[in-house]
Amino acid sequence: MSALVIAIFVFGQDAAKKEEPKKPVYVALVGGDVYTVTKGTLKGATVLVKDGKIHRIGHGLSLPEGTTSHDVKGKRVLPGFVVVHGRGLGVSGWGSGKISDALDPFSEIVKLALASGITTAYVEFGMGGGFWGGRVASSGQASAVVKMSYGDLDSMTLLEPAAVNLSAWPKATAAQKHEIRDKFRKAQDFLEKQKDFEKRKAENKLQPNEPPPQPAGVENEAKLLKGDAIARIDAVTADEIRAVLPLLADYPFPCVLLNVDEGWTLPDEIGRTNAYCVLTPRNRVHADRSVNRPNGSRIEQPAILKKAGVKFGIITLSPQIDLDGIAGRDLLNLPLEAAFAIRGGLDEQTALESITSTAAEIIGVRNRVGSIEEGKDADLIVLDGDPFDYRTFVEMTFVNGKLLYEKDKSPYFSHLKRK
Amino acid sequence: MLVALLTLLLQEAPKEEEFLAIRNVRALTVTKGDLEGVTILVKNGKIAEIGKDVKVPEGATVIDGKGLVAMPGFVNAYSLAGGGRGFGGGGGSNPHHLAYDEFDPTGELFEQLPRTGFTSFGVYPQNGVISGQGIAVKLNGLPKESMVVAKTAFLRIGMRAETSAKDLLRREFEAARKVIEAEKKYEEEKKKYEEEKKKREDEEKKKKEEKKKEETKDEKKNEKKEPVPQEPKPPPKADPKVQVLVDFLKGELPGLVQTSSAGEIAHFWQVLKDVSGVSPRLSYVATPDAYKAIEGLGERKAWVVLRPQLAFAPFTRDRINPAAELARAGVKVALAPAEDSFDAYESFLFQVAELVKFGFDREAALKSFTIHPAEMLGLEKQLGSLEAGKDGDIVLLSGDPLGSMTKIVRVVVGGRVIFGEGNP
Repeated sequence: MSALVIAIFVFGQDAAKKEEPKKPVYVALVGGDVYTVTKGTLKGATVLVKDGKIHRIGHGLSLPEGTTSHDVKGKRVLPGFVVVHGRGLGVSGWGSGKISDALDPFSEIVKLALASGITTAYVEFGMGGGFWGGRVASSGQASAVVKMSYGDLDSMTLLEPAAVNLSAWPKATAAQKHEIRDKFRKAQDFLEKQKDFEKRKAENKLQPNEPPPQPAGVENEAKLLKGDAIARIDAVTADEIRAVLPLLADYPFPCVLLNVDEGWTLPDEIGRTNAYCVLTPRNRVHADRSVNRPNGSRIEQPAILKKAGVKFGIITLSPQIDLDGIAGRDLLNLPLEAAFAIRGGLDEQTALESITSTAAEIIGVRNRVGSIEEGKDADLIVLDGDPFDYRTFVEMTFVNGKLLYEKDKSPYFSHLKRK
Repeated sequence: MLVALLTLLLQEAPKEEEFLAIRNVRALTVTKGDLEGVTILVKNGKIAEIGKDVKVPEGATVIDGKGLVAMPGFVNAYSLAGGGRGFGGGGGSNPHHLAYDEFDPTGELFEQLPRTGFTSFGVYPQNGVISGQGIAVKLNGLPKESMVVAKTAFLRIGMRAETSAKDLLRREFEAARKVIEAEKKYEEEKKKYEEEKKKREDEEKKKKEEKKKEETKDEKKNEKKEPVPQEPKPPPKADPKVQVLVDFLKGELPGLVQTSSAGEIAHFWQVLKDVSGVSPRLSYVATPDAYKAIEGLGERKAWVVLRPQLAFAPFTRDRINPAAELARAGVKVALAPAEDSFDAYESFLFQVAELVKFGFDREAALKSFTIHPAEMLGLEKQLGSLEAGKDGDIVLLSGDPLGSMTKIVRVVVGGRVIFGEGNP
């Protein structure tokens, strides 16, 4: 009787299916201006996608049989935008545990992100910023890099955890700073012991039953020193930035300085450490000595940092998708933030990188996204104009080669026609 | 001798048989089509026969069904009617908690339920991720024990898209899966052992017969003693809490998984993906946005319990009919009243009619509160349709169940009238 029940009610995911060799799925975007980001722009070219990865880029490509072809003549094809520090994209409110367990693959915010050309984002729990602007410090909770692959939970998480939070550092007391330095020292110790252990192991010089050295409470610090993780530190003012630099000088590790306003006052010092910055070009704060902010912000900051060799990513005043408040301050218009950096003297190429390839590098997924190159994920957007023109809309968004957004077929912007 | 005869006579004295017949009625069987002008005969609480020329025995309660429509008693697969406030604390995993222990069918709701057409309910326990086992009850009248159709009818899971909830489910499922695996392994080993035992016995028999022909001392000496393999030990009995999950994963105990968004259904699939070699009998209690997960639900031919309401496409006033969309994709849809209040039960048929008006297939709609919820509770053999052999739970309506002027005129449970205008 129970066998009969099982036989009748076996569901698809466990039913044995005949194993057939899967045919490759081809998608092509034909005839557009392809902004590779890394290798210049190819005018009137084709991007061929195979099984969700960028397969070939060029002119006059022959398309295999069964290719789904999209005519994008006169349009521009870019890699999907990358949000280097965001909130609420696929994950809502405050949560506990892992972000990947709280993602909502059917969130309307994910759809709106796709409509804005965003395909990958670094997210933490919490809704910050809101429609009054104002950036939110790194919350110290879980962090993850998430793809806007609407409807497909399994492919949403790219990386978790995505950062080590060291935001305590700039405001820490001397005693706390000592503790943190101590941890790094212990981690350095551990790494040396580990290296020695491996060396002796290779030479068969280990003691009998000698256990390998343990990181014992400094796992994160060890990962950072090895370059296997990236740290995030809030460093808004010149003082806060200056407070981080000595730590980085003693213990060089990949580091992201968040919400940098006054980095333009010490670009070379930052450049020497190889730290990344996260900037919001439109953020305006005036100099105010009474709050220990003698410098304020400057719109030339991105250009100044670029000159000193500092790499940076750009986010908007509100690092999330807002449905209220003043338009243009939130992620619905990410490229406009980068456009203001151009206004302040930054070159267009670097501006584009700050929301694509460099942003991907900062969040640790440069090997997957951030440029149109063979082998990278086919996260592509089709624009009806220059990416930094306020009149430009996203017409199509692909994630992993799947067409997830079409402007004409969505209720958000289909009524806004370009004249 | 006389005593023996008397005993024989007494043994053969016929039991008192109860008959109820509804004559000349339009029967919406739900599973075997609509029948016009038939008689439904209920004997001892079970439907004995449905047809045009059914013999109605003397002494039967006869109801004239002319102009009326008969349907199977309505089933609510996911109800809190008479349910408790839930057990407090105890962590998130309580498969051993029984809704039966907190079930209290006294109170005004139960006095009013007979007039609503709903005759059977799956009452679920609350609290915790694995909340416990629900009970299936019928409006058979007090005491509580005579209302029980199945004391442990289904497992209730309160899904949450959160690491602690998912990890709990993973842990508990894994423990149960190990038990299933051990059972399977034991069955295989036992089979192998039996086969080899038989083989050995046959060989020894042959040897003995050959020995009888030529018995020499040398052969006896050279006879090697082959090691006798041990009989495999059955695995130890599983912890009763784990056993509940074993029954669930094997499909013997149906499961109802409550979700609060389409996304949570996807998270539950993620958890289930890691559990191999199981085939649970699952229904999802879903929210109106479940239509967003239509691809995955349709692929799995899933079973879903919904409230009878329309939704709007996000940010618009474009109506979406979740029940209709899911049914079209091959999902088995059950509809349950919006909540366990008399108002919600009263308006249920009107709300179903609205869903049909906006595109829900009529047949699927009628099944959504009869045979489909019965299946989700694992009780399709006795509830949910007008067929011989099933329980005599019948609703008599003054017209089409989805008609705006239709009233419920009589409700029969187990062959007894529990609600009716005038005398039965």
